[in-house]
Amino acid sequence: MTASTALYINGLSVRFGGFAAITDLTLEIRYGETRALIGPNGAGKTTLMDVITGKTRPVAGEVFLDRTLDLAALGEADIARGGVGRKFQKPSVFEALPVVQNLELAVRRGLGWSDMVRSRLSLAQRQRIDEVTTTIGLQDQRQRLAGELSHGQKQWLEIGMLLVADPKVLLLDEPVAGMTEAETERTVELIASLRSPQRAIVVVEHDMEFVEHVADLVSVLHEGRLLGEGSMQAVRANPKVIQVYLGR
Amino acid sequence: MASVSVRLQGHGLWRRWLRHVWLLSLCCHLLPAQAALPTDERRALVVALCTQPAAYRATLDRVVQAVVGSSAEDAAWGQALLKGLADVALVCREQGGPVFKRADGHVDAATLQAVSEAVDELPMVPSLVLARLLKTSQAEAELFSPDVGTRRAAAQRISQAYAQINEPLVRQALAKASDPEVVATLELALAKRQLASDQAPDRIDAIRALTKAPSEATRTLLSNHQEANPAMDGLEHEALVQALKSIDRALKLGQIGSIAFSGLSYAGVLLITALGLSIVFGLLGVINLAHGEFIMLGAYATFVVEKWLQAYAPGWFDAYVFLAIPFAFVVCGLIGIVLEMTVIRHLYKRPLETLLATWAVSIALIKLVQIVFGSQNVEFITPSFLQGGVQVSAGFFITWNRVFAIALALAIFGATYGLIRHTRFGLLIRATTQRRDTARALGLPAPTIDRLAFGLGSGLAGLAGVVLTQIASVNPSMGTSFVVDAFMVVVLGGAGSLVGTAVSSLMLGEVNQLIEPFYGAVAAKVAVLLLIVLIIQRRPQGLFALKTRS
Amino acid sequence: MRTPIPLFAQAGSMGLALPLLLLAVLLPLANSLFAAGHPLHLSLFVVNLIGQVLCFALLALALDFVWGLLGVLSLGHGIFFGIGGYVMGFYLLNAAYADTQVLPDFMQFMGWTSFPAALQPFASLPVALLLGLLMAVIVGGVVGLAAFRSRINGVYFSIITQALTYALMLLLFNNDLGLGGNNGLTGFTLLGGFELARESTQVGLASLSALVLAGVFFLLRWLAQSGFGQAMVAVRDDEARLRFLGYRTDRIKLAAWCLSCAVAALAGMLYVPQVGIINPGIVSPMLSVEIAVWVAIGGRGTLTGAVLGAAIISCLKFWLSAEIPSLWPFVLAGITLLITVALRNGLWGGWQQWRTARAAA
Repeated sequence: MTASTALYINGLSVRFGGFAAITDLTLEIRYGETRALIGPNGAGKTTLMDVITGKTRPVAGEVFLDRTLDLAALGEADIARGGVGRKFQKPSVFEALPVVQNLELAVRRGLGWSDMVRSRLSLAQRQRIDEVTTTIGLQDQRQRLAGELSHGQKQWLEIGMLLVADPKVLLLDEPVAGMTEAETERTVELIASLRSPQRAIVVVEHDMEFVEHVADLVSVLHEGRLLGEGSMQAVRANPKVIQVYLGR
Repeated sequence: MASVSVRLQGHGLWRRWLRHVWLLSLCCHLLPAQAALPTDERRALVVALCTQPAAYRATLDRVVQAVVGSSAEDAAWGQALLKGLADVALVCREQGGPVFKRADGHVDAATLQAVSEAVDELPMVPSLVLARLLKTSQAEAELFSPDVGTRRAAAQRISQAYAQINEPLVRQALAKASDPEVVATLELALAKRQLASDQAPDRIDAIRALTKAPSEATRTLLSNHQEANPAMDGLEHEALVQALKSIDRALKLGQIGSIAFSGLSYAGVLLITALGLSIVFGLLGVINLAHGEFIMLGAYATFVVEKWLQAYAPGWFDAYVFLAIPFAFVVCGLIGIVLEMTVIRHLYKRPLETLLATWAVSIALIKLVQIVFGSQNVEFITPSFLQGGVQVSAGFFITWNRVFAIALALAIFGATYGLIRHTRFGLLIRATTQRRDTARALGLPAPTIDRLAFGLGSGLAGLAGVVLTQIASVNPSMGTSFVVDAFMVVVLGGAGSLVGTAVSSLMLGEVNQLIEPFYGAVAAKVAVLLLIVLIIQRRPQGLFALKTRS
Repeated sequence: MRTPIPLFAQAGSMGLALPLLLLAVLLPLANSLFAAGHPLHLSLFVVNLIGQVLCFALLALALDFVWGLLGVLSLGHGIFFGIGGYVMGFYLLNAAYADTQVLPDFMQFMGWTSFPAALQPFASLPVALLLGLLMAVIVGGVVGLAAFRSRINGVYFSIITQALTYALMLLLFNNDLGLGGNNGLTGFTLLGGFELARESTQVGLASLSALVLAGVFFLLRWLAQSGFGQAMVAVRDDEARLRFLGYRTDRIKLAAWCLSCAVAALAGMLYVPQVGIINPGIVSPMLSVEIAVWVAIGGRGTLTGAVLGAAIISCLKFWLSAEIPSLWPFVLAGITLLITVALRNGLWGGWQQWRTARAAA
């Protein structure tokens, strides 16, 4: 039984002025899957994430969530509410707020103004925050200002902020960049624990070991096009991929 | 022009000639008078001026004839009489005949010989009527002056006083006139007068002639004529309607030209005030609220140069603007560098704090200048070569000081463009503006470049102040009104882009001048803001953004 | 990124609201209980000054809410202060006309023989108050909508607000508009039945100002500590991130902005009866920058800092302008430079930071 499609991308093209960032890209990611997007810098990986989350508009092609929600027509906030969570390359947490308030903000997803003003959270929301705080290992740092966390802790907090909203699609842009070995290991565990039949995870990374541990399928992008797709071994053996990475 | 003269003389020639005869009979003398005037006639004329107000006109006409006649002696006497009247020097004595009062005594009004006896009576003050007629007569006399400048000026006065002129005399001057300007003005004067003729064809001629010199005045004349004569026959009415249409078209063109020119002039001001700001904002991301005060300092530096030259080198006075240029640039540039070193340097990457800090500097500078120079407007004497202007067409007058300001603005822009595009220093600035980190990685001394660029920006603001002394009022708080406009230019054009600054100055200058005369200053400012908001939506970095997406 | 400081020393406490409430009570007491000459007596002059300072503090509070917490630096809050002030002026003109049956001077100069219909809706005090707040919210709303939708932020927004302030000032200076022109609106006699000239009215107004300031402070602080306040801070620090979390940030900004404009208008409405005049100078671009300076000097983002900053600088200004008027701009410039370059968190904010650092050590 095949799982249903989470992200459906068909014939996507993105241009910035005269520069073609993505050309005729077709990709399909299913629920329960962890997909890795690899490729040299400038291949279009971050641009693809920009398009999915609504930051950039394509000039051609389709981007759908669940095959029904047209992501090219929605704004960033609506896409996020629709269940797409994105983690940025640079840890983007709200440094002036304590850890727990970062999570509170995230769990609301911008809905319910009267609750926001009265600082009310439902029981389910509170429980979720407690769960996630433990998952990311920051249960002892709840009242600490996010700005005072270490680099690795900030990355986890950011992942935590995405988790409390229970996303259908999780986009992780270089989640282990700048981490120590120990932190990287912990992050691998964390991401592995995020796997769920109702969730699709897309990871952009350069660290090949990390990709091997975490990903089911790998898609290779080069100069805005899909170069190859498959398991890590298959991709490694692909002559086109070898050519691109080894150069000519 | 020649065809019109022929028309005036040829068309209805008979009627014209009959009118001349009629006029001549009023004047009691045939024109032109060639024989010299005997003394008693002269005396009679002067006495008439003293005692017969009703005959002022006729008497003065006779005097003017003498002035323009072929007898040099009569001419001299006539001039003396006119001058004596104008100078309030004519003494109408009860006995002994009228005399002129001179600095060294009195002379007989007819013979111009010195009078021995003492004169007690005071000179006659010309009545308003006489004074007016006198002016016209003087103008008529000057129509025959050998100097073309005098003739032109006299023709203008004749044209303004067209209702009172001695028509035959003016026609005589017209016949002799060779200078095209004089001819045109006199024809206009006669046409205006002819509008009141009781002969329809004459009036139609006059209407057509007036069309050749479109202005607000002629338009008013024609529309008054239309209102005063509601029952006008077809031909004349037709001619009038055509004439009004033609004049309106010319006036409209003149208005467009006027708006375009003043828009250009305002754009020039915006350009030079925004230039330095654009460079500094583009390079440092610094909003310098004291930029307006650098402009003000440049203006006051010009004042200092002006006063200094006035006191110590008056022969060079006319060049004060040119001497002020390097002076203001250096002074403002140095102050800018000091400001950068003491304040801006510490606020790197904190634009909002920089805003407040530069605001603090600006209020201190304003107060300082107020204390030293006072808060009233400072008057500048326009150099002689910039005074006056030229009339391009109806309602469109160009003043030389504005042309100079535009030219200077363009020159400054050109020099800055050359500096930024073609010198090493400019290259350093451009590189550091576009990619600061890369530039530093390449070893470029960013802090030094910042400092010098800030000095350049401040110096340019000073130059803007120099230019403004010729076209705007100068006082300690003049800077604040320019800063906001300058920022609008930079926001729209794109920080750091010289071409962007030029284009947006032009756009905003014209928009402002299109709207302000009709809807007021507030509407103009709001329109500019709306325009900017609309454009920024599409292109957040401005029209010619230097920094690409990053 | 500057080091983050905790928003408020004690979350949940009333903060400044308490001392302000006390002030509201003390003012009339000090003025009436003690006779002139007594050391604890506050003369009408002093009470009136305090009232004006309280209005400025309210204005600074409005700006800090939107600058310190939301990260939107408005250099045009004078616009809304002016709207509130002018609307109050319209009401007072109505009241004076009803009282004296004499048209104000500027209307007589314009040749008007009866009270203009355009100003008559402001004849009732509650209606005028409501209209004033409404107009401020509408104008602010339009500006905010245009700016936030276009993603105009930072210094661009600040400059545009300055330009708008300049335009409004030009408009109000226009003598043909029928709003008093460069002389402004004066000749007020009654306010809600009370004579403005009476000492008790003025003391009451000052006391009211303290009450309103206490109430608004409490409200804004409560908002700042709520989920909405968290969202505001998030917008300030990383708006894009918040959008990707599902927040419609323009709406948050618009709501906070409109609230701030309303508070500024409220300050204007309290100010005008205490000074007895409103003129276009209040909408000068310079004054609007000065408000930001008050907030910066006190310490932005702390709310308390804004109130203190406004109070300190206004008192200094009143004192120095009387003693050495030509020195005041230099003093203000010096303080501003010192704060922006050296004491980044302002006086109150700096003290809070020092206390936190010491507590942590």
